Amino acid sequence: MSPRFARLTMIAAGLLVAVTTVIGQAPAPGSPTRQPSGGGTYHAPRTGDGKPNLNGIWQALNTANWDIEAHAAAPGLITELGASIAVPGGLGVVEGEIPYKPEALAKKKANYTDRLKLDPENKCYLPGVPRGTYMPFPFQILQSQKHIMIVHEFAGAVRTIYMENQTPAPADSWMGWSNGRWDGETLVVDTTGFNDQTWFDRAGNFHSDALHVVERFTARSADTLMYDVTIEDPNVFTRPWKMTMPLYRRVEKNAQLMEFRCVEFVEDLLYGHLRKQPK
Amino acid sequence: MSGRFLAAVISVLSLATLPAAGQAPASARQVKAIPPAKTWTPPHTPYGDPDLQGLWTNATVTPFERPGQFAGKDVLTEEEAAEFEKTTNQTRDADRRDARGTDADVALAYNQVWYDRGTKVIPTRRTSLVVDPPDGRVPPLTPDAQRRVDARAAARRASPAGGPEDRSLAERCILWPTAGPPMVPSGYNNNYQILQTQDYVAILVEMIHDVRIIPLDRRPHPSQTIRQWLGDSRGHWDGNTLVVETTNFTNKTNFRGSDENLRLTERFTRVDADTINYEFTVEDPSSFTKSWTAAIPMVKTQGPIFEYACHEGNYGMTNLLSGARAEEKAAAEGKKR
Amino acid sequence: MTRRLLIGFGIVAFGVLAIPVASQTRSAAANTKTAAQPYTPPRTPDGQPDLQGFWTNSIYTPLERPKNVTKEFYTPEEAAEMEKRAAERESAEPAAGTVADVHYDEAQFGLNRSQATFARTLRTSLIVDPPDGRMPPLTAEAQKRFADLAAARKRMGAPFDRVQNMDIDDRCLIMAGTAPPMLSPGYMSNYQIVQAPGYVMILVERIHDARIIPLDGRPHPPDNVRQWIGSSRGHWEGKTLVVESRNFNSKRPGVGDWQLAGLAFRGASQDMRVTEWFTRVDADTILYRFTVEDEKTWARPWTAELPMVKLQPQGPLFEHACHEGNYGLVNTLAGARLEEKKAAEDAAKKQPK
Repeated sequence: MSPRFARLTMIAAGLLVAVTTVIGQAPAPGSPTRQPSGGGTYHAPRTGDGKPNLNGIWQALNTANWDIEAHAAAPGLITELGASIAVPGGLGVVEGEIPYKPEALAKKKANYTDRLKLDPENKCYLPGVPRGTYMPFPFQILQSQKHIMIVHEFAGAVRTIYMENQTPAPADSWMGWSNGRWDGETLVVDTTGFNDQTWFDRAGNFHSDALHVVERFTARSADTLMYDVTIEDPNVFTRPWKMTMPLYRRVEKNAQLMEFRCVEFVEDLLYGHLRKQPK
Repeated sequence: MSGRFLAAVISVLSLATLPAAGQAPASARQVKAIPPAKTWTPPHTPYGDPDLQGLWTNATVTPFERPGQFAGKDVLTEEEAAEFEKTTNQTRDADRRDARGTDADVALAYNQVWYDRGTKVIPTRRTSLVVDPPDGRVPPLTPDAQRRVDARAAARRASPAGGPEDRSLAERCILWPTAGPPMVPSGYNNNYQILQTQDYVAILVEMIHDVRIIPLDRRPHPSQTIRQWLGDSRGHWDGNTLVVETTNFTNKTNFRGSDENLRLTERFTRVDADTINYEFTVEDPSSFTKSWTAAIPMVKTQGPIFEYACHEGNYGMTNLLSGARAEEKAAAEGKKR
Repeated sequence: MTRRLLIGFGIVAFGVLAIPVASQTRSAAANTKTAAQPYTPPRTPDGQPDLQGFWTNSIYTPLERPKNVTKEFYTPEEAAEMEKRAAERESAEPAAGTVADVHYDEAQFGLNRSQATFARTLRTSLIVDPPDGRMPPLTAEAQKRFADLAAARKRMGAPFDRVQNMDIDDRCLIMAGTAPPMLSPGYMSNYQIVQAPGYVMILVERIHDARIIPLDGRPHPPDNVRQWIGSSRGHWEGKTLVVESRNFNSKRPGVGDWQLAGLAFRGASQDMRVTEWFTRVDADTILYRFTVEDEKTWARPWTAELPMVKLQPQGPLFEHACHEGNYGLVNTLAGARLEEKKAAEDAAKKQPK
């Protein structure tokens, strides 16, 4: 046998050994393939002023707007809408349970029972923070040096995040007053100045005007962010608590926010009883 | 001196001489008509675009169309402008109490503190915001458009408060003229915040917290079947001017009689540190007999812009409608007796 | 040189031998007795023992040992006799023109088990523990629960008063044989197993329910999340797939209105836990074993075992669009309303004027 042929045979044999070794093994089937959660080592591209670039159109993909806590599927409130309005199940975005004070928990349950009438979303009211982030509508982050704007498709709600010349909230508002700073790769947004009118979801989870929200937006990959929220409200909860979820970039060509000017859609709901009745 | 230094000098001078909008009428303010920027170079964003960012207002006493008293007159003298400002501010003063005890006194509704209609004419002292046609007036409507306008007015007379849709878009908290587009000043809150990124210009209009997000990437407009209150805007830079073209309006937006065929072109040029020349051209051949153009300067103002939660606080609509129903009831009961 | 070549070929040969021979004859004795030759199932590309294919758990052997039987195994002749009698019962046609005649023609609709593939065992019951082949006694709590539910059901009215009073399978919500443990519902007892990296999926033909079982050890959902098929988590122990399930709801058979907490599988509470073992014992057979634990219902856990055998032919599973074709429900309710109307009219006629 020629030296070359021998070498080839050795290579072939070596390959065969490798192949059969693989076949003969009993690899651990179904070994965990968990994705690393946010806050890994991803380094986002930079904006012109050197900050992590969070510009884009983003959207949450979960059932938090229905209920931020874990919940099974359930029927909806409008018979005619059947499955379209039924509640999809979800494992929840809250770490642990929401630590309500006892009287506040009673109010939450009352909210839930009467949610058809009470949920501000039904009336096209501004959704507050962080509910706006995880409603089933996209929002756009527009990042400049002094300000970052978050514009929501739902009701055209807008938040201005002041990155410089920061002041406390000059007045109460639905979307709060936001001051932001960078913490390495993370945009930290500190929001106060809320009124007590918004809910956290459709299940009646609520807050008072003492609400203080700290959000952390961290790029997790080119097309995802990790979004962590700490909620504090000493009037309602016994301690601060957290939510966490990924946010997904809308990557389709020419993605844009559409108008969702729902005020027009709720006029009959709000004023229909004041309509002039035909004789 | 170099062009840049001259520009800087002019900037400094204009800072010194231009008052913030909304001030009480002051005496002896030297207003220089600032010529279009030939030598002033605007600062740039990190992406190389002219920087329009900041807080701006377009409040002014200059009327939209040239009033009859100024027919044939393009520009006011400084004295004429001062006189016009004084008269207008006096007439508009909502705190005037010269009709105490009358319905007219109560019907003033807002006190002066709520208003922000501007107290100055525009720096060029033109007699109208409309600059073309040269007579400073919006061209006549087409017969179709006139019919539409008449029909709307008739419907309004027939049913002024039958339901929310009988009221103006502003009263319904759907859309305010300050947002437009085009963006024209209104009674108050004439404030705008412009923010620029690499691919977008965003204009936050205080009322009703509308953000016009204008992409710069030359993407096409969406299909004609999509109609939106603010239309659909696309922007690009033409030298130092941001040109924004907007189509896809609904037929309810009704800018001075416009319909869904409205094509709007706006131009934003920052001419000094405190001024953006804002100009818009209206093309809508099914509504106006010819295209027309207006120019309204946007002047730096102090913030912040507050949240204008119009709909959430719209007690006015509830009260207006229930008042109308109460009146009807009273009238019906009066008839019965 | 030659030696190296021989080593190379030897390795090739080893590789060939390592691939197991596939088809074996189907063993009628698919009971717990170990096969004479240990069977090694093939592997999926990601290394799981391969359970894939179309299977049925249709079987004539009852869950519980019949009253007149005391032994654990039949002889083959006794087993065959038992199957024959059961098959005769199923294919018996009632007298023409009677009410009983207006029913499913079991033969025509393939509802007669003997017409299709079915599994066999020599066991006299599927329950292997307790050793008497019967479910353990109910706890006092369970007896009270059943009594309370019976009372509640009485208050709900007659079975056809409204849709929520009807059986959940008539309502096309979920059918027996779907949720763990999977026992044959009598017909359409067909399953398709598909494995992907990190998952085993069992598609149940009845109402196209798919059990998606992750293998990565993730936790179950919180206690307040309850599902009809519960929540399942699997892992491999050698060649056996072990699946643990919990988080059941209690809206199972015979309940009615969804808001009324009721009964899970065979009377269990919603805190029932089920462990299933799937072991492929030959090319055509999976040995399926399960244990049910529910201290609130049974004095002790109980275990059953039965084979699942390969369907012949191998699929396909057809779409069971139960709800979309549920004319039966509408007709049943309409018929009940019509009967009421007639009864009321008849009663009115009998009234003295």
